[in-house]
Amino acid sequence: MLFRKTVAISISVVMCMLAISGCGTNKEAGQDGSEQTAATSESSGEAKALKDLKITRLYHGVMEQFKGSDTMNNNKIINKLREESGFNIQYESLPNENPSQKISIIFASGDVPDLIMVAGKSDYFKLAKQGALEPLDDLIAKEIPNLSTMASNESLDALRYEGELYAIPYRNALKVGNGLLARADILQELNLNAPTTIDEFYSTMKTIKEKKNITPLTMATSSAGSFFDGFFPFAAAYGVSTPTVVKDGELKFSWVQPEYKEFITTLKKWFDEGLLDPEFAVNKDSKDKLINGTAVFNTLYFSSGIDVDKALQEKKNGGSVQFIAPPVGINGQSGIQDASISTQYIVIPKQAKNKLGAAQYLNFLYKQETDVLLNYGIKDEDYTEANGEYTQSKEQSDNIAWRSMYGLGDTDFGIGARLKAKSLLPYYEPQLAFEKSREETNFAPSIEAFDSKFPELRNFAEENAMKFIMGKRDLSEFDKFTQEFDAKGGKAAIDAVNEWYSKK
Amino acid sequence: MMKTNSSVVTREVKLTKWRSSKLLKYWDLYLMLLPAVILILLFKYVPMYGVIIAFKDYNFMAGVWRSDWVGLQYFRELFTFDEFPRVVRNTVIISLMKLLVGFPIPIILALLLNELKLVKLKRMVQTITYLPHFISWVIIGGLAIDMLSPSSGIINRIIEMLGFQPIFFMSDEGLFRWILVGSDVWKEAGWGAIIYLAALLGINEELYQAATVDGANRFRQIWHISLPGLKSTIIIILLLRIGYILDAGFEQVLVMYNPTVYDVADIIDTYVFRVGLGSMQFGLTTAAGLFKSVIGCVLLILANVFARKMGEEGIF
Amino acid sequence: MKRNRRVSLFSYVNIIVLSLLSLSTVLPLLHIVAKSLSSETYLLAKEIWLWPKGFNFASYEYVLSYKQFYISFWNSLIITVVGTVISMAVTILAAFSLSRKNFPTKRAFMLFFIITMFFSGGLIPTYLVVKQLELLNTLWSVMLPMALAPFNLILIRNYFLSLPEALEESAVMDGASNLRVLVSIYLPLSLPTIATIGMFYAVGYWNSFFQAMMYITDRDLMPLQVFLMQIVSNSKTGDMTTGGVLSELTPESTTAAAIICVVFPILCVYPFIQKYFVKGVMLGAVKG
Repeated sequence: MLFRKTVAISISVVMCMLAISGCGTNKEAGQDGSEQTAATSESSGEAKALKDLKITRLYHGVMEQFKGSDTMNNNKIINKLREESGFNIQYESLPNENPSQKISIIFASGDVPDLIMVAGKSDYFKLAKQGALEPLDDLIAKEIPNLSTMASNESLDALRYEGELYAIPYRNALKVGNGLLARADILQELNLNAPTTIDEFYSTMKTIKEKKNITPLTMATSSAGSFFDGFFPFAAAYGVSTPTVVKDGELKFSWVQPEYKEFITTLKKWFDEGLLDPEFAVNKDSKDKLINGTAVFNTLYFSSGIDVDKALQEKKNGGSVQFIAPPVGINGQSGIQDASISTQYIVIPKQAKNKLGAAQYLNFLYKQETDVLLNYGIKDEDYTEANGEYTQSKEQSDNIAWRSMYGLGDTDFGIGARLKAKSLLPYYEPQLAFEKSREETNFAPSIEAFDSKFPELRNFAEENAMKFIMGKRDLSEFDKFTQEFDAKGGKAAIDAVNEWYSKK
Repeated sequence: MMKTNSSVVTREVKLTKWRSSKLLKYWDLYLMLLPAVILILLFKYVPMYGVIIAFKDYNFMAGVWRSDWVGLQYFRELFTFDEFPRVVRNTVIISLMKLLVGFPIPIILALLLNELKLVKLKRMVQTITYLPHFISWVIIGGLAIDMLSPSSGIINRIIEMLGFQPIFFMSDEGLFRWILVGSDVWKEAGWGAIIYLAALLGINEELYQAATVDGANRFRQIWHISLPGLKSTIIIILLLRIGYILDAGFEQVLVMYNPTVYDVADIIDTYVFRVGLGSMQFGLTTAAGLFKSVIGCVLLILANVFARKMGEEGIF
Repeated sequence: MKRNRRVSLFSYVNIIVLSLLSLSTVLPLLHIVAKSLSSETYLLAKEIWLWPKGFNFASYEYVLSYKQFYISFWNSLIITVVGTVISMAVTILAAFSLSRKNFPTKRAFMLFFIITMFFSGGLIPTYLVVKQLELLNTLWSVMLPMALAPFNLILIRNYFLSLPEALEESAVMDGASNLRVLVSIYLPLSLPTIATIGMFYAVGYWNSFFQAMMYITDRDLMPLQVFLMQIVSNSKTGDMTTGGVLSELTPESTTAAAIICVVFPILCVYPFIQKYFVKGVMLGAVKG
């Protein structure tokens, strides 16, 4: 009885609070609404850019490198940017972890910046669909002529929602991401050439195993999705490296193709014969195995090459690493990941106060002179230039290491400058020549039935692939796996994508 | 008719009288309670309307109230995930294992510390065992993985020295949950013991003296004096842990698991995280949260009723 | 005091068990210290276990040369001290009134607090409340939303309930007010528990980062944990990157040094709290 009374009292308190909160938030939503109308009436009136401009960008590691009295919003580069653009710009950063959360509350509160970066296609389309973003076609035509150097029409069209464009992709000038790294000195020591085909890869690893008694190939694929990144160069030899492949003019999921079974069979063989690190599924990081010489091959991000080399030089045993060409399969296929696809977008919120200014500032950023400023700094102070030759010492570059955080897209010129400053060119340039596998769905618009199911399907495929390789599930069940995959929604998802693909 | 009416009236009069008198009588106690009530109202109850996002297609521009209702769509979505039974099962199993092992150990640790008569050693042990609590799972998990590695880990070195084959701990489905439980205990036991240690200090020293005079040994003293002294604290912590049965340790699992042990380690939180990674799936996430809250709350209330039936104070 | 002075077998076993346990729990911290003092090469090679290699202080120099560290340190200190004082005041008052045996509706209020341990309105509505109260970009936005932890309230109330009623009878007879009973009888008797809960709050404030990450954009108001988060999540772990931006990564040794710098101050709280872990307070009180 007492208990019932307690519950009754507390429930009534809760209900009461809900009612109060209801009033509070209704008022608030109303305010948001009025703010919105004010903003639109402003833009529909005479077109005039405001001076104040707020930019919220995704986290960039260089932000931690401000020294002395320099801060994100007070240093010589940003002051120069203010002076030359004519806008009083203020930068803010989203947190490194889970930026979606913060982006959500920014949009939910209506307290939006004039430019904001968004990570991930699904988040972008969600915002576009909800009408939270400003359509950009008109603004681009009138205010951002320089955009043509930063974004191709194909990449823009992939971002259209119901015919309208709401975002500019953050141009990614890097064409190379993860590559296949080999301990060149060990290969040399054993008189081996870098293997070029899948079969050669096998025989080379066999030799290494026999002569050195180590497990030649290592990988770190414990986090979700990293299995596909890590074994990408090997899957490419079977033509199934990307999530979908084109077959008979139709898109199909790679993971259920017979070629994929062959690929898995090969890895299983390597695993069983001790050529593939038995810990690959558990590793969080496997650079140490290259450094210690307990492995010879590993898939790594290109800039990791320099870390491994440095570590090898500092340790007395020496050695060096080199990115090698991905192995070629029976049908002549090969490839590494195409890193140039950007999944970061620049958008102007619908409720932004200075939309016109935002567009004009973007155009300013995309100017060539600004690009030089963002990548080299201020002339004669941070670099010297003569006949189109730019000279900058490492020290000069390090003093303004944070400069690249102000850009909203990279140019080939800019990335070249930064790679050079970091001595990364030897690890980057050789890989430019390698084949890059193209994923068609990267150029697809938002397809709900596909996008919403994709993470679940990928998880399922990844989990099973690893189980097949490690013998936790028998490979004879591959057909059963493909049926399960289709039943889980794989079939429906791919059909939805093909509807778009066939009309392309 | 008249009669019932008047009786209702008198009852109401009585009720208001009763209430106002109680209110007046305890005005200072209500005043003491006021700051806490205001804080909780403002920051917990006012935003609580947000749970209806689980039933709405949340739209930024419309706000919570004006977004469209979708009924139970997100719950249907959640419950029809093929992995849902698996992740709920894992969550409950891992949680129960942690409860079974991780709940008594801080109590035992506190009792052992209480029996330690070397004051300096006692303080040192206290201070050291609570250290790992301050280090995030990213570090502790990474360290555990390194220590358990078959090729380089210290544990497997020892196993090899003893003449056995190295064990692949992190990809062993039979062992993985125990590794979660073990590392959780390792990290949190010292921290968990603190509250019991504080409670032990409240026990009247005379009781121990009397017991010693009666010739009771250490174990009997622990059993008949220390444990009864801790009883109410133990019950409270136990009740709360029962309420949190669907929280099996998101951060820890996320750091330590890998696809080969998804079958035994994937929990509700990690699954929702992987599926909704980086996307603004408010409906689904809120629905999953609400599911956990309702189950947790119901379990707590049931456990509390049970505790009171057994003659204990309970939490409320 | 008169308890068995003879060092029994039990004592030996106890000492050994507890020492081994301490040894094992000190490992992670030693490991991080070793990492923070080593050169990056050995970290990449995973050669660091409990002893540094390539000994140097460069990582500490780097972290301590960083302006944001001091700004954030100061902010965290304010949040922790002010927040703990507020929390303790609010919690003790509430716990006391809810522990009065004759106080009506106390169970309903307990439930009222406990429900909030399970149900939360989620991120967006809470943010809107903080915004409406004009707390955004203030340190209050970190303190107030977490000022009352029901868990701590329950623990203090439970302790108050366990105190014998006889203690206060004479005081009540003398006509002492409730507040007086609390301050002069309950508080002095509950020092170990009060100190413990104070530490729970302090640690909670020191370790909190979520509120700050959501409600504070001004980098001058960032607490230390947010600073640490950025560094840790940006450190050189993992082999592959799926994003395309060429980013500056923090060396792992620097991350380790940052962790030590952030964790160390709060570790000093416990030994201080232990001062209040004194037995026999109750004994005197009952007799007196």
